[in-house]
Amino acid sequence: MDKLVDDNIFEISLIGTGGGYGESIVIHLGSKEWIVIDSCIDPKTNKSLPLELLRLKGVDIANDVKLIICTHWHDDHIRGISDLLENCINARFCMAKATDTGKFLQLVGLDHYKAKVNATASSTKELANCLKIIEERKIPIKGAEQDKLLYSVSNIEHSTNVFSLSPSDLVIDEFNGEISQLITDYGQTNRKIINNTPNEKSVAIYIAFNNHSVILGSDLELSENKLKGWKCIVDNCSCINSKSSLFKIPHHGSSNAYFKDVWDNLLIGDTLANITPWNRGGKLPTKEMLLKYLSHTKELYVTSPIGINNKPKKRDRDLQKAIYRFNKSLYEVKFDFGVIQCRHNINQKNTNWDIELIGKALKVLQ
Amino acid sequence: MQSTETLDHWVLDHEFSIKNNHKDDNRLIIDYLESQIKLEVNDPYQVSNKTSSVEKKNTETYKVPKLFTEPLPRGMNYMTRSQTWVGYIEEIKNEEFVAKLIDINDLTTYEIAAFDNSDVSKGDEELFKLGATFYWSVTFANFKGQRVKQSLIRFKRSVFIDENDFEEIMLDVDKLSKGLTWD
Repeated sequence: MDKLVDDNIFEISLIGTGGGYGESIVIHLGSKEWIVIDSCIDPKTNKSLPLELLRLKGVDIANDVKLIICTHWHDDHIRGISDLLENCINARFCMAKATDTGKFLQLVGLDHYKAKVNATASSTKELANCLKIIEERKIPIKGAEQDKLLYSVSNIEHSTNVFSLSPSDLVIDEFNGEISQLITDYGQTNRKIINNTPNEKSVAIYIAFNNHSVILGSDLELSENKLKGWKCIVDNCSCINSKSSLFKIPHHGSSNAYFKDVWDNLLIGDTLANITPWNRGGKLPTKEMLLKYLSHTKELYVTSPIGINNKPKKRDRDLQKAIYRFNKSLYEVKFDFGVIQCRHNINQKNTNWDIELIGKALKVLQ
Repeated sequence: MQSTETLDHWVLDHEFSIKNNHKDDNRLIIDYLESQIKLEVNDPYQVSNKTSSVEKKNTETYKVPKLFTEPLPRGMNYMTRSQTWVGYIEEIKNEEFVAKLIDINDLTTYEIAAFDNSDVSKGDEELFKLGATFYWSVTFANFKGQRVKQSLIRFKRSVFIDENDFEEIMLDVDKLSKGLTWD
């Protein structure tokens, strides 16, 4: 991995862990300005992987990281994000806007309390820590919504703009009702907050630099309702002014995040497409979906091989036999670290990307 | 003095109703005692020959009554080895549920397993919901002189939030709410 990144290089590093331990994207916008989307951890060290990557690249983390975007508060997108924010002293924090902030904070506060006394595994612990840091720094949260400019770099040589494509107004409004339901569910017994539809609220990102652009799909899914999800983006987003040459395929390449119109209308042919697989339970992407993606592009990459490990952790032989006797289905979710690093000279007119595969990342061939 | 509004809050109502179920409290005490006994009885024949003592900071030594004065009968039941996970239910199907499992002795990577819904005890049925926390233990035990293997699933009870805790949480939330702005 090259340590130094030139000012005129736009770089996107997609970090994957095989699904179980999350995903993150580290982006150099040019001119030593960096942003990070989501966070994940190494389960052995508990360290934030995007933070480690920034350190490895020799980035001045305190000064040069300008924005941290939390696309949604699912465990596989949020782990280690408070540690990241703590270190990125000059970074703004961005998340989907909650119109009833008071109610939202009440939910986070109650959940955080239960986590502190070990009653549940909190989904919102990282978020609660981030909100405390933001309060101390007295800097407003960037509320993500459709067509909103989140960050901009502009100089004589180039301009780079970061927009949020979602959530839509309807999704933001519906979230209030959902918080009430979550609070009611929360009050019951020993349960962790289960947020059934956070993928609708995922923040998808569009970045335009000079004549090029990329779309980073987060976990945003397709909805039957035209005012939500990918349909709403294709029909209504006015910030998209060029077809993109790089696409982070949403939601681990699942079928419910696939929308043909995105490929036809928002992306160039043979766009560079990257996936973070989900190697748990119903593994993602399926073979059928991989073939579908390959029908759109020859440039398809994954951060790690797709496939489930079917063995439990290694233990004492007698114990292992006893465990197998009681439960044959037990398996360990492996930590499969991989990074797809894509670089593009901001001033170049062609759409070619330089790709470096790190760790377990690989190209998918037909 | 708590405000009426606070005392009427749904969280308190619910948590109180859980707290008033004293069966759960008693069970926790029994669990605690069992775990203490388990520590002491890991090797019962040795325990009876030990001289137990406790060192205080000022180096004085106090004699502590021995737990067992006579060798334990060979038929005594005790646990020899165990493996425990904390589980979180992620999916409930018709006949089985799927859970994420964290080995309490190895907190690094986690495991996944499916269990039969019938493995849930009658007493835990009302706790058996999506997101519920439970413990799964596989143990080797000595049962009347015979070595047996056991698998136990037990669901975690709710945490008690009293009025003071609740007020404190809400004060923190208010403070946070005033300190946060959006743009």
